[in-house]
Amino acid sequence: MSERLRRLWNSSERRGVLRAAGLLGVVLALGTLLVGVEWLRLARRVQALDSEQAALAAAEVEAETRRVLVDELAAREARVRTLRARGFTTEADRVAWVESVTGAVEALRPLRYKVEAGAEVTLTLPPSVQAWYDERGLAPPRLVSNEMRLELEGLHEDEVGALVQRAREAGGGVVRVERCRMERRVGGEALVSSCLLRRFALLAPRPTEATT
Amino acid sequence: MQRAVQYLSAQESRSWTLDGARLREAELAAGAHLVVVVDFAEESYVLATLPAMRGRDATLLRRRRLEREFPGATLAAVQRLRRRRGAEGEGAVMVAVPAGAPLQETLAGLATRHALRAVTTPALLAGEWVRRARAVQPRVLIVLPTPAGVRLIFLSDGRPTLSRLTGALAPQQTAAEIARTVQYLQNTQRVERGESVPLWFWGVDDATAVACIPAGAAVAPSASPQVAALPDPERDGLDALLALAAERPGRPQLAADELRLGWLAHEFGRGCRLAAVAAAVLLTLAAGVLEWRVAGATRAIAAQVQQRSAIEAGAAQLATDLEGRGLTLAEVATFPETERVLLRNAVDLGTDLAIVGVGFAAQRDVEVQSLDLRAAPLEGSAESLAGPMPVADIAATEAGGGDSVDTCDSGVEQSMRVEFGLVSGLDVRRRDAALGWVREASGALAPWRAGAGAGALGRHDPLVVSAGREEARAETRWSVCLRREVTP
Repeated sequence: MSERLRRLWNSSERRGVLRAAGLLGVVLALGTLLVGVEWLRLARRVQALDSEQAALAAAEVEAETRRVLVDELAAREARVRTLRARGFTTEADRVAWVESVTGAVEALRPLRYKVEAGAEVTLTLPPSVQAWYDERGLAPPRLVSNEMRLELEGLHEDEVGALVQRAREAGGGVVRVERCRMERRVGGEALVSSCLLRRFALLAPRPTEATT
Repeated sequence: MQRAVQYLSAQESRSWTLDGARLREAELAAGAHLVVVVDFAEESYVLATLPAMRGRDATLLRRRRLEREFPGATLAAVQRLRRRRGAEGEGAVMVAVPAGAPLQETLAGLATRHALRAVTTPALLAGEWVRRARAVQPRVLIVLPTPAGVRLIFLSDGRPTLSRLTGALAPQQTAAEIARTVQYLQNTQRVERGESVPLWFWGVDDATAVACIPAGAAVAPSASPQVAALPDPERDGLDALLALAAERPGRPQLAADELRLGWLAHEFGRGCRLAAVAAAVLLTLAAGVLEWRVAGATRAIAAQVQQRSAIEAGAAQLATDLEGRGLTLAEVATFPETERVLLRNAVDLGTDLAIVGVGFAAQRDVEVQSLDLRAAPLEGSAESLAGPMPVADIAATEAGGGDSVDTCDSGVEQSMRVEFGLVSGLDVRRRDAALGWVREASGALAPWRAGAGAGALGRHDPLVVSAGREEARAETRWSVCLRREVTP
C-alpha cells in the first residue's frame, strides 16, 4: 500500500491524490473539532450537573434538618428565649456576678473564702455548631467565657452545692462547673472546697468578621 | 466517467464503451476507465506450490517467482488455487502474457490517455464469470471463439489453469483440438482418466457445438451458468465476457501499477471521498449523541435547580417567620445545641456527691478525706482531641510514706478522685471488711467505672499486729479514680 502511495505521489496524479487526501483531512479535522466542542460542552454540563447535584443533596440535608427543626420549633424557641433572657447573648457583668456570689457566701458564714472572676476569653465554637455556620457561609458568633474561682473553708458539702448552684444562676448565660475539689483537712473537721466555674456567652461577630 | 473495454490481439484492436448495461463499439473518449482484454497465443499458465505466507513477504516471493518463471514479462499475475486438505504450501497458478514492444507501446499509449483499470485475458474473465455465477464446478473446459481464434479454457475450481488459442472455428479441427486438450489434461493428471470433463460452448451455435464434440473424448457438454444483468455467454460468447470486463473485471489482472496510475489515483480519490462521507456521518452522529446528552444534562440541571429553589424558598419562608417572632434561624438551630454541648459531661455536684455516698461514705468505717471532681474537656478544645486515658490508678501508699498517686488529672472523660481512710481503732478484720466493701461498691457504680487499682485496695498493705492489741494502723489513706465514659 505504501509503495503504491509512493508511486502515486511521484506520478502526475499527485495533485488529485493531494486533493482527495485534503478533503478527507478537512472533513476529519472539522468533524473532530465539532465532536471536541460537543465533548467539552458535555464535560462542562456534567460538571455543572455534579455540582448542582451536590448543592441539591446539601439542600435536601438542609431541608431534613429544617424539618426536624420545625418539629422541635416550639421547644427550641422557648429555650432560645430563656437563654437570651439569661444573658447568653450578652457579655458578662463580672462585678455583679462576683458581688452576687460573695453575698451568698457571706450569708453562709464560712471560715474563709475567696471569689475571683477572670477576664473574658474567646474560645472556638464546638465543631458541630461551627459546621452549621460554615455550611451556610455565615459568620459564626463568638464563643466567650469567664472563669470564676470559689475557695471556701468551713462549709458543709450541701452548702457548697447550693453555693455553686447560686453562682451558676447569678452568672447568666450558660455556666459550667469545670472542677470541684473538697478536702477534709487532717486533724480538723473543716471542709476546704475549691471550685472552678466557667460562664459562656455567644456574642455577635465583630463587624469585620461579619463582613468577611 | 466513461467505462470502456479495449480488445487487443495480434491482428485486432477494437474498443467498446458501456452504454447503460450494453456494450457499444465506439471510439474511446479521453480519460475513460478502460479495461484491456489481451488475447494472444503466447498466454502461459504455470502451476506452482508456494510457501504459505502472508503480507509483504508473500508479495515479494510471488514477484520473484513470476520473474523467474517469466523473465521480462510485464503482464503477469499469480492467482491462488483452492487449498487441498493435507497439502503442503499453497497451490497457485502463474499467468503471463509475454508482451512484445508493440503491445507495451500500445498499453503505454492507452495508459497515457485513459485510466487503465485492468489488463486481463478471456481466461481470467471466464474465471471471474464462474465466481460471479457462484457455480460449483470443480473442472470445466470452455470453448470460446474470439477474433484471434478459438480459445480453449480449462478452469479448475473456478481458476483458469490452461488457456490455448487454436485456429478459427471449424468443427473437425476444433473437435481435434478439444480432444488433444483433454488428452493433455489427462496426461498432466489435472483430469483423472475416465473422468468426463464438462464442456461449455460460449458463443457457438448449437449445431456447430454438436459438430465440435470430439468422438471418443471424455467430455460432457453442459449448460453454463448465468449472471444476472449480464449477457448470456452461451449466446454472446466473448461479448458477454467483455461486458463483464467493462462492469467489473475482477482479480487478478496482469498490468503493473505503473500502467494503472490513473485508475489507482481515481480509486484513491474515491476511497478518500467515501471515507470522508463516512467520517462526516459518524462524527455528525457522535456530535448529535453528545448534543443529545448535553440537552439531557441541561434538563436535569434545570430540574435540580428548581428543586433546590423550592427547598431554599422553604428555608427563606421559615427564616422570615422566625424573624417576625424576633428570632433568627441560626439562633433556633444552634443555641440549644450549643448549650447542650457546653454542659455535656460537666461536674454535677449533687449527683457526684450521691455517687460518692453510695460507693464510699455509706460504710461507717470509711472516712472520705477528699474529693476531686473534673469535667470532661469541652468539645473542640485541644484537651478533647487526646484519646481517653486507660484507667490505671494505684492505691495510695501509707500516710507519711508518700501521697496518693492516680491518673485522674488527664484524659477526656469526666472523672472523680476519691481519697479515703478508715476510722481509727479498727481491728484487722473490720479493716479488711471495710476495704472489701469499698472494693465491691466502687466496682458497681455504673456508668462510672473504677480503675484496676480499686480491686486491689488493701490487699497488699502490710498488717501490723502489736503484742497487746490486734489493731490496724489508722493513718493509711487510699485513693480511687472513677471515670465516666463521655456521653455522645
